[in-house]
Amino acid sequence: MVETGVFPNGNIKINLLPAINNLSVTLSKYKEGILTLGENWDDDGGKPYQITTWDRAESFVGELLIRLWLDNISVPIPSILPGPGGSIDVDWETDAFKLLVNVPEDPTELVNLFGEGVKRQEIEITIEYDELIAVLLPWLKTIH
Amino acid sequence: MVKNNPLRFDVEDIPDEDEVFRNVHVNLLRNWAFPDKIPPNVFMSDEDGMSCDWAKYSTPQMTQERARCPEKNGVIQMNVGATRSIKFGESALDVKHDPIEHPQPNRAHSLVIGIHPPNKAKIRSKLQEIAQWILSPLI
Repeated sequence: MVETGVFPNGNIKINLLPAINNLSVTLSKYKEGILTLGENWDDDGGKPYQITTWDRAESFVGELLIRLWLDNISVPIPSILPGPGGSIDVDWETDAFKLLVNVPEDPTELVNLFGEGVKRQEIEITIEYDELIAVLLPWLKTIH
Repeated sequence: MVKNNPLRFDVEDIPDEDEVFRNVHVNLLRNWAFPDKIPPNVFMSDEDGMSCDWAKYSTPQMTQERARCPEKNGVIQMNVGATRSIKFGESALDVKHDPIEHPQPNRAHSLVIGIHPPNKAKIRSKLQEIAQWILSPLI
């Protein structure tokens, strides 16, 4: 989780430097977890994951989280998982919302995502990778 | 059954109240921090559908034993009616009995239809909500 503290006026601040350090360490661990999956990693012909797919997943997660944290919105680091067909699943499961973003292996393919807030605010969309931040940032802000 | 082929199984209707089982390879759980929850990446489907075993003709242990490396698989369970209640647009998922003879005879084999293309985030997210562990991975 993101470290927070409380200002004397009651506003919550996010302690950004430890959060970014923790993000860097966590992403490194996740990267190793996915990119060390070799041929037949699932005993059913599964193929290794491309570093370019990982880079796209990592890049959008990093930018999204830092921009949220700079706005004092405490969103945790998601799970980043080996997805179907060489894609990578980015998954948040929190008390406030759940959000699944699937980053395809083919960079020309669209990104499919689904999210649901605790008050049933729903987002389901298939978009260009470059639109991810512009779409998710306002949605996550409305959730919080 | 077809008399001249004892391995040909009849296709049956699966009632909503029944369960299906599915193997989950431990490597799908890499980077997953919630041991009691099911990650979304276990719901992978090809063009025919997502394979599972009907509880009428299988137990969780039998499903696990059908994996190429049983010791590397856990088993999840899903209620058929709950699976069929997952809607997308005008459609909904379905669960169809699909007994097979190859690579080994499996009368329990069934398919969850409608997940393809496999990147349907909403469907996989909803399947997470109805699935539960029935056998944890052995390692």
